[in-house]
This record gives sequence, C-alpha cells and structure tokens, in this order.
Amino acid sequence: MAISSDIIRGHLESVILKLIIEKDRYGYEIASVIQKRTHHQFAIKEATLYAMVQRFEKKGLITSYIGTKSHGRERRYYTISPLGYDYFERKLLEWKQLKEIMSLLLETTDARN
Amino acid sequence: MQEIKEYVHRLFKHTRHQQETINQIIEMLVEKVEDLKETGLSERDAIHKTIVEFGDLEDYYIPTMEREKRRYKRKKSIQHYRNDLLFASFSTCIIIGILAIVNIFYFRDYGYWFIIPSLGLLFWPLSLLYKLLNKKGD
Repeated sequence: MAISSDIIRGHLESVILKLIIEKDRYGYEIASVIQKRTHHQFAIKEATLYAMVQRFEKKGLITSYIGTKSHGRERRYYTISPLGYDYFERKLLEWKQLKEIMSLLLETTDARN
Repeated sequence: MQEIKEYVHRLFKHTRHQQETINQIIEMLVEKVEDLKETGLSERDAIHKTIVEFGDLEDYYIPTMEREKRRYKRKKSIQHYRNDLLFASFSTCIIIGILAIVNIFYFRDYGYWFIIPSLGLLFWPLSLLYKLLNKKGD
C-alpha cells in the first residue's frame, strides 16, 4: 500500500539529509533511492525534492559541486555541511521522541490509564 | 532537452524565482532523463516520464508565491500611504498659507486666528503618518 505523502512530509527533510550524509548524491539519485528503499511504497515528487534541496543549500545545510558520473557526464552533487549534520542530529532526536510518543499512544493496550 | 527547458519555463512563468533556481531545476530534470535513458527508455519516453512525475508546484512553491504576493501587496500599500502623506502635507501647507494670507492681509484686526484651523488641519497629514508608520511596523 502506498503511503500518503501528508504523513511522511514532516520527516522528508531528515530523510533527504540522511541520504546525503551517507554519501554525496545528485538530485534524481535521492528520489530514486527513496523509491527503492521503500520498495516503491513511497515516491517523493521531484518538485518537492528539488525545492527542499534548494532550501537546504540556501540555509547552508548542504553544498553542491559539479562532479562526474558514468560516461563522464557532469552532475550536480550535494554534500552535507557541518551545519546540516547538526540539523540532522536534532531532527533524528525529534523523530525518536515522536516514535516513542506515538507508540505509547497507539500501541498501548493497557486500558487502566 | 528543449522540451524540458520549455516545460520548466512555462511552469515558473508566473513566479518570481531567480533564473539560477530555474536553471538548477532544469539541470536536475535533465539528469533524470539521462538516468532513465540508461535504463533503456527512449529519449522521448524519458522526457515524458520526467515531466509527468515532476508533480506540481503546490507543495513548496505555492507558499513561496503567496508570500511574494503578500510582500508585493504590502509594498504597494506602503507606497499608497506615502503618496497620501505627500498629498496631505502639500495640501495642508497650501491651505495654511492661504489662511495666513487672508488673515494677515484682510483680517489683521482679529489677531492671528488662522493658527486655530491650521492646528486642526495638521491632524490630516499626522494621521496619515501614523498609518504609514503602523503599516511599516507590521
């Protein structure tokens, strides 16, 4: 079942930063990895992805450089900055807290409280 | 890749995005077309798929457009208040001048009475100045 983009939207920033932390990536690569890792259950719209990437760059969370991929073609790669790394760490912490809260609220079967 | 360029330019026609932003979007879409071609798609199919999957500007660009619209509206209304203030100041000066001339040349025996209506008139530009400062402070 494909997941609604509204649910995941708030966490897309963290997802994109995580993928760029793993290794320097170019725009479409990020979209394609997201689709592959979620076994096609979630696909990010490119309009959303590119807008986010540009916003990250403006905020100084990532930087870009022109690199080469296969067949010597040039591509714009994104790399994480120390600021971006700190931001990701904060978002990760937020996510862990949210996960804990949601599991407490939705999965607890104890009806006494 | 002319089709991609035209598509992006058409999409951003009504926005005030910088050319650099638009170029970067084109660059990213061209990268996608190249990747899709590597998977065996023809250039035509790759371009078509890229355009269809791009989505719309709603998600992230519309809020930006709304912000820009609001900023533009605010700028216009500030300019409007400025013009009002300028008009009110000039008009007040002219009216006070006329009152002073009438007072001094024709009704001197009654003292400097023109000061009283002049003080009342000053509230016109003053109220507009107040409005302008409030608008700027928003």
